[in-house]
Amino acid sequence: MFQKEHKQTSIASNAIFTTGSMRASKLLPSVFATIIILTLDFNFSLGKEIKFIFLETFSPLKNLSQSSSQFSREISLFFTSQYKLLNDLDKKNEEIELLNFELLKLEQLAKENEELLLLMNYTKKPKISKSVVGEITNISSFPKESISIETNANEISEKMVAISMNGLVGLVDKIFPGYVDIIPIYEKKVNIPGLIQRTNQNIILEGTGERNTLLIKNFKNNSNVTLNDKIFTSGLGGKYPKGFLIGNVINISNLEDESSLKVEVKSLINFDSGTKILLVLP
Amino acid sequence: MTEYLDKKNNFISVYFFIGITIFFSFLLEIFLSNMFDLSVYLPLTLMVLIYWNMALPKNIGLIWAMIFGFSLDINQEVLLGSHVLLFLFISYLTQRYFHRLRALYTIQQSLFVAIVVLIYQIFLISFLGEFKESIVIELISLTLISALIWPIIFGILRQLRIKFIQSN
Repeated sequence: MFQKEHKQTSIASNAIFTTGSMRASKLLPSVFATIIILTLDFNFSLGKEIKFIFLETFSPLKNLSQSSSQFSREISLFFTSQYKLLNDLDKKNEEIELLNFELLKLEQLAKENEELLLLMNYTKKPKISKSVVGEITNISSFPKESISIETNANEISEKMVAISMNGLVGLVDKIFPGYVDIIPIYEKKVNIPGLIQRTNQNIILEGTGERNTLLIKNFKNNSNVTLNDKIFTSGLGGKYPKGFLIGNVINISNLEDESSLKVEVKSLINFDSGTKILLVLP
Repeated sequence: MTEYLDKKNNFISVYFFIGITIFFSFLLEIFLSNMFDLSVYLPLTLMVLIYWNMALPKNIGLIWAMIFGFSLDINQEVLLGSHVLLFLFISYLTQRYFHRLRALYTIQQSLFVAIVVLIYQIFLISFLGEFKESIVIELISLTLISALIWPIIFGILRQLRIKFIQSN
């Protein structure tokens, strides 16, 4: 053993002054080429495409190592008491997820029932002669705001108006087989006979085309109106059922001719809220 | 009498054989780096490269250092050429002083490899620009592991060299 060590030491002492045939001149071309590539990659991201292709190629190897580490974890867990515990935990988590889903479904069902109940209350009003329930299937905002209601189209007439759980929302625009399109009460050229609750004055409301905004038509300068006056449907003309809240007065201003006032009414009801719509004929 | 040696010579080309071993070490390095979520990697490719530079400096040249350097750059998504430059310099030093390195004891060689690995990793971290608190611990532990596994790599490659390649 000592002899071997002595031999090793003598070889080492002889080798100290010996160098291999490798010279710096052999190395320099490769170093220059590499530095050029490095600079190009640094400045112009030259290797981006190449890297992408190669990373795609190497991806099975990456996945293999990841799945094998997962497999080894599974194996190691199998032989410990934690395995059963983790399995139980996973099962319980799945059960919780299912229960949460059921809860959501029940909540949704409760909401729908509440909505239906409110709609049914409207049908009991004596001024309503015919009513049909429909379900909102599509909400569109272009070219104009509208909602599609899935319902029995045979029972629908173009004179019907739409009531959601919050109140009057719109009127029938078009009837298709199986569904109808509803436009909001604030759509342009929609005229609604209304009543100012405080003064019992009959008015005509006209849609502006802007969301939730209506104007009182031909409102005389000397009329009695104040901000926050509540406007209801008057039922005149027989198209809209009487007593549904349309909105509040939010702005009063003078028009150019000074004989009339411009009165803006803000509708308080969201056109596309809820899931059910009641189509009624007064 | 020389039939035995001739048979070994024809079995596989030395150059190709060196490439295969480096390729396998490269694959293993990628595999291990993906398995453990660390900032630094166990530089198996570098260690195999050091072995072949020490054992057969006339056969290896600098091409394999460049090829696998670029491959590692691509795989680790660093600047193209980062690994290559380091591999080239380490190959140069090892080929230049292979007589001295060969004569060292295994423990001394392990120490040499540990120092090379440490410098290599520090340079790579500076290329990557990722400085974390945990990186120092990872760096030290991987340097130690590299020193510890060097005798194993050395032994395996030496056995393979004896079995498949006629010594020059």
